[in-house]
Amino acid sequence: MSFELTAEQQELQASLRQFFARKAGLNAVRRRYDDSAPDARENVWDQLTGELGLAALGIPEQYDGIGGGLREVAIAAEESGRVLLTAPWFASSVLAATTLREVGDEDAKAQFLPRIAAGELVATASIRRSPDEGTVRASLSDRVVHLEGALSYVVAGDEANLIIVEAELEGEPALFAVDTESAGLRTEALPVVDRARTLARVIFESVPAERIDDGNDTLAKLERAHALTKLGLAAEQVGGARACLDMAVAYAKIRHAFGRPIGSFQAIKHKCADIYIGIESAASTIVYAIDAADVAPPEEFTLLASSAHALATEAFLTAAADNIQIHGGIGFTWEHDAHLYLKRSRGSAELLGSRADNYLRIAELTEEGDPDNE
Amino acid sequence: MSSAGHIHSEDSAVEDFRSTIVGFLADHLPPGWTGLGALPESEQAQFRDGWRRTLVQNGLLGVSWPEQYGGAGMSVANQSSLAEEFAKAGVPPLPHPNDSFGFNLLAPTLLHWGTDEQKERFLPPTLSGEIRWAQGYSEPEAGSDLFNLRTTGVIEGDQVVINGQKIWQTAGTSANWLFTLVRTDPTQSRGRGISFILVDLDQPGVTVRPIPNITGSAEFAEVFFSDARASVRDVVGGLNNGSKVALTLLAFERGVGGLAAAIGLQLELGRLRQLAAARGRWASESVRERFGACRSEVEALRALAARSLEAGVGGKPPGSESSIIKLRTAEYRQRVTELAMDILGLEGLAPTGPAPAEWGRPQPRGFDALSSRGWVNDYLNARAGTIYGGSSEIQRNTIAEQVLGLPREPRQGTQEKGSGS
Repeated sequence: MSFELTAEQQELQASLRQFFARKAGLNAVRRRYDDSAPDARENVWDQLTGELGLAALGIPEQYDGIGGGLREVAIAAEESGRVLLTAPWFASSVLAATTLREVGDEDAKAQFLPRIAAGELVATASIRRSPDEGTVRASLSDRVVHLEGALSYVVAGDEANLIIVEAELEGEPALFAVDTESAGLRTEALPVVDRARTLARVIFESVPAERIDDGNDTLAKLERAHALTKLGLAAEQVGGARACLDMAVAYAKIRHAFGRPIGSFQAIKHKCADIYIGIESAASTIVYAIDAADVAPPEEFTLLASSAHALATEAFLTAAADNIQIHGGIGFTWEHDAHLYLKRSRGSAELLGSRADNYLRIAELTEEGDPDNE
Repeated sequence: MSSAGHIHSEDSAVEDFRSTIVGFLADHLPPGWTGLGALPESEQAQFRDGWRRTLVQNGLLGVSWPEQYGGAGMSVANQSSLAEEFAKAGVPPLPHPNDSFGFNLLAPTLLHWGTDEQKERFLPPTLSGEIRWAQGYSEPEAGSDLFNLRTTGVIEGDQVVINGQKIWQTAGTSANWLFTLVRTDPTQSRGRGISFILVDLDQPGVTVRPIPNITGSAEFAEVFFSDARASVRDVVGGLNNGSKVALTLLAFERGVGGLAAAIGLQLELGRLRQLAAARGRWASESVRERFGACRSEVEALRALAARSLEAGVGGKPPGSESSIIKLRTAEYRQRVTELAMDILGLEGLAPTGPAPAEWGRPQPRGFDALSSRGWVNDYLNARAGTIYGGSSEIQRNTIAEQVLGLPREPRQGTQEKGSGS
């Protein structure tokens, strides 16, 4: 068990927090929300990937990455969540890189991971979809695979150069890589509420695709990749929730009503305590799940990842909503930052599985081989 | 799936110790043992007595105590493994209702604050079970506001004459000694002038009365002192230093019971699933969703327990984990027992089946999953969890003030400094 951060991990956390505060704070988010400059994109990507090496963090050294573990990626995800990082780091370095690492064959890993690590390639992934996310079918003819269908809510789909997509081929799940410049592929940015995270519709019209899994245990590998990305998202959600807690507590200390700080009233105090408790519960479960990732049986790891994700969703939704409540009227204004987090919390609550999806999966996993069922 | 899973330690000594406990259980439990919960009510008390003797004989009670007082000087990690394996096997690590007070509260207090003479006089009989402890803190006018206590202790020579009343003593009717807080300096108020003292309940000036709770049983009692007498020698930590002694009690929490508790919660969910399936309610998506939410909560409690244990193993003072765990566990048990009641439906209005083996915590392994009486009792008893041991409101105040730094509520008649209009 390793709940405490090592000295290196603390350094990573501190340097990321400083960098994000200086270069990628909420101003970048604000520009996305500013209707008068709808296409504004900040240029932080080069610095993130160059100076900071952030895109390389979770990629193994043999693929030109830094070789950081799950905990390091979670630390980065949390810090990115604190500032609602608009750069497509999550899509590229968590969704796509994790999927490639877990499910891709050697050739695919060697081909794509170094370029993702260098920030040359912005990638995203779409696996283990719910029905609302659309369908894509793969068909083989003359030894070439073509993809047909439409996907929705693809994270950074309109910013990516590469899409890693799960599709069924001859009745079995398989994984494919698609260049977004491909003929027959069209992306449409969705009119999102959370403007800090782009989502796209991706339409495949007979798009040639490269199969990148080796066909062995692909389903199990996809499940594992999905669980790992849930943990990354959960860490990002915890970061957002912490930012909300910080805002709420700071405000409660200085805002006075009835002759004293509003934080001295139990109603406010208890809301803050509940936000804190929700965050710590989620954060601890994320670490526990990370520690189990390489040692627990797959079903147990899936159950832990689903639990961590659901807990993080709860924590962030509560934190963001109660942050507004604690701020009173000003919390409800466009000008105040609170709504930026509310909208991110809502978006994150649906990506990679809703709470209901997670809870049902957990229940399903406890049906099989429960110890008391003798 | 790896159920009731423990955290596999990288330390082979810890895993070796765990194996010896598994071996001990295999050697000392009756053949075909399926857990304390499976025993008929009439056999439970006898089993607990015998099991306690077995633990004492094998040095598995008071394990954290120094060896000179009959303990094993056991490490925090091993204490946790012991508790976890016991939970999986469905046997109690502290068999009698008074044991948790003796071993988790009184003994650590004595080991930290007591004189050698006090340790020698009180620890061995606590181990043997000859002394059975209850905790005498709360009074009718002093629950959450403990330092509003009124019970007085007047020094007369080498005796302390005690008058007043304590209430909510868990296992009070089976106790024969009380560790309690009394006001020994009447010129001081609130937390000042209080002494932590050990009182023999077997004397004419003491009356113990059971308090039936909402299930009809009497886990709690009240204790009346009418010129009861204790010895000045039995003041622990020095006269008028009682509030410090009482407050440092919390610092002894080393996170050793949390993982075992999570195992107990997981076993309870396994039984709930059996109940839902047997009643045809598992087909309901809403029931499965609520069940999954409960299980995610159990994983959170397990993770928090692991975090608390890691701090304990590292010799660090407890963080906010124990407060969070207490609060969240109490509220979780209300939620899971409410789910059980919803699953039972009308059956919960006229329950049948075996009486529960435990109150205030999940039933031990082996308890009949289909016993509606068990679930109804658990539901009723769960109402107390958010009240005792630091109410949920107090826990939230503590977290908000001590962790988040939010300001205290001003006392009546005072003004906060620097408050604007």
